[in-house]
Amino acid sequence: MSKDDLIGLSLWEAYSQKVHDRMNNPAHRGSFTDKDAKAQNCKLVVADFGDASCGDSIQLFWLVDPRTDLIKDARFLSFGCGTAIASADIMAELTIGRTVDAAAQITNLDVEKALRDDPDTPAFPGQKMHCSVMAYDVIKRAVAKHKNIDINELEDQEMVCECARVTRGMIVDVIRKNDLKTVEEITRYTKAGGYCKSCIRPGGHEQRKYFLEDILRDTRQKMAEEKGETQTIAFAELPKAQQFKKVEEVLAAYLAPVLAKDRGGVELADIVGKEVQIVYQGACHGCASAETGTLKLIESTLREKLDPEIQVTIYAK
Amino acid sequence: MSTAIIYRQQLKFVAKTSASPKSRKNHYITTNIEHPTVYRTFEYLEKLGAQVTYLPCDKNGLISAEQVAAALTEQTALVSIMLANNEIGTILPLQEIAAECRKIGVLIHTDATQAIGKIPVNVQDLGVDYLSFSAHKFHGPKGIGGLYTRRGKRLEPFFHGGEQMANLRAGTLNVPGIIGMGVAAQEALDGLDYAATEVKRLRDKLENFILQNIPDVFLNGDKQKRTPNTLNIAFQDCEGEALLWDLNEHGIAASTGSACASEELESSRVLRALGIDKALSHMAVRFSLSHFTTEKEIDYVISVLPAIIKRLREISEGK
Repeated sequence: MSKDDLIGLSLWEAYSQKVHDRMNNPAHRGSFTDKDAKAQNCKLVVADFGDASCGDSIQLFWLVDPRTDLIKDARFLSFGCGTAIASADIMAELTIGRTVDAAAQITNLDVEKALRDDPDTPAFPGQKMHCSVMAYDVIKRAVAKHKNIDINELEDQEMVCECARVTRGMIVDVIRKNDLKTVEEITRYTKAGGYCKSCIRPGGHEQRKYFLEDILRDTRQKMAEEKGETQTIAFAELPKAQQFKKVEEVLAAYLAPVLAKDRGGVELADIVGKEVQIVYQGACHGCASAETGTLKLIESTLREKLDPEIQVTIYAK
Repeated sequence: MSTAIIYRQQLKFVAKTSASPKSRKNHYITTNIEHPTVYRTFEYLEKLGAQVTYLPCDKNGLISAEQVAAALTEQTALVSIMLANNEIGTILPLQEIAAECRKIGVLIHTDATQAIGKIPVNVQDLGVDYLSFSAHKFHGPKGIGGLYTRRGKRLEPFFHGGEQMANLRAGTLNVPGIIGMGVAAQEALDGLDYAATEVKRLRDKLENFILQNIPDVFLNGDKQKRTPNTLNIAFQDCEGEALLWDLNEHGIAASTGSACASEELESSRVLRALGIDKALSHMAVRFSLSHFTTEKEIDYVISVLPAIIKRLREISEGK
């Protein structure tokens, strides 16, 4: 653990100047009425996304020229935090002057990038990513409204996270566009799994049909297939000796260097099914995070590298 | 993390020994508005096999002694109920609650972290067996706290192998912290009248201004039974964190029941326990005053707040 982990920046310092400027003075806040549309010989398109009971909502208004399909002007209303409002403002601006089809191509990444001061420094903290995703989702809804088509034609409507109202199509899309590798990242980008957590894996307190872990695994697998990567044999089907070798390789390559920094270490004790049992070495013994954060890190690393269903436990003699 | 948390962990340890299935007393009573350091500790105890009753508070955040009496059983090992809530300031009737516990000899702990320095706290009057607190909540040093233990009420050592603190916590004493806390405690005691009159007057000034001048606001907590420095209020159509943003731009620090910034996206558990509308729980902010808050500062908040609320409502509702 470094000093920066202990004394991080103030949250207020983790936002770009552009986020500050947009939040403090959102140029495109407001709405349009039918009258406004008529005055400009345009069609009014209004789309909603989110809900105040979930913590944020956004409404997008477009004036679309019916002859050219160009978005002549855009405004928004947003109930949300600073990042949500700044993202909504830049999103509205990005759509102005584009055709509806071109606007449909704008993603949450475009929104976030447009808010950066420096191309290599994120515009806001990672947990705020869902705010930019909201801006992207409302565009899709506006496109569907304008074309008078069911949103189902743009994305499937299988609801995965009821709390945050996030569909399967949205999750697959975000995983692909942002190359997401963990469930935590999905939550950060879409809010799915951030509330009751029942949609992460089976066994939550609410009944669910789809689970983030399954969607992540299937999507990653498809992405790998599309890349033409040869499908390796699933971890669970490998002979035990090879499973040991694989786990030990991951521990040595990714985890030993991290733990060694704090004079700790980890060794593989046993593998039972998909349960990987480990033994801590050195300073990891008795460390407060050995049963929490560190264990989670080991688990998520093994899941990412080998099998998303791996469970890591501490070997009990 | 304050030392008081460790002291509460100490209580957890006591609880843990009696949480083994062999033990007869395996039932605990707490509330649904405790600070996470207590609430999560009980959730952990549940994993170890303990039976825990989380008493639901009423719409003002109050828990009654009758509720506690009705939940007590022969298996109850410990009752832990906060003296004052950290988010809404509601003061719970600990004296009456402790009396119910003592009637049948059940141990009672109270988390008085939010009460000390704000209201008079006397362990004899309250009649509790354990009382924990943190120094930094009454302007003492960070990293030190206290646990009052009634004479004769046993505690398991938290750190073994040292004679410090009557064998309860091995380790060299944090002398500067202890002295600092002592001085702060004395000043807090001397300042109780000031808290009850001047701090309360300033809090009420801000509160009354908001209630009378800003439409569609909702006060959270109990208006009467409340610590004098706390004001928790929801502004319709203003998202809590957006409001913090604007307040911060004006150099004003407040906190929110909205959890937008944290990894946990759900709004405040305490506000939801009050049964308020879920959307409204995302709109609540807490203003906390102290002995050092001046009238000039309150007047400044009053001077900028209406425009902030108006701006955010324009962004969210267009009006």
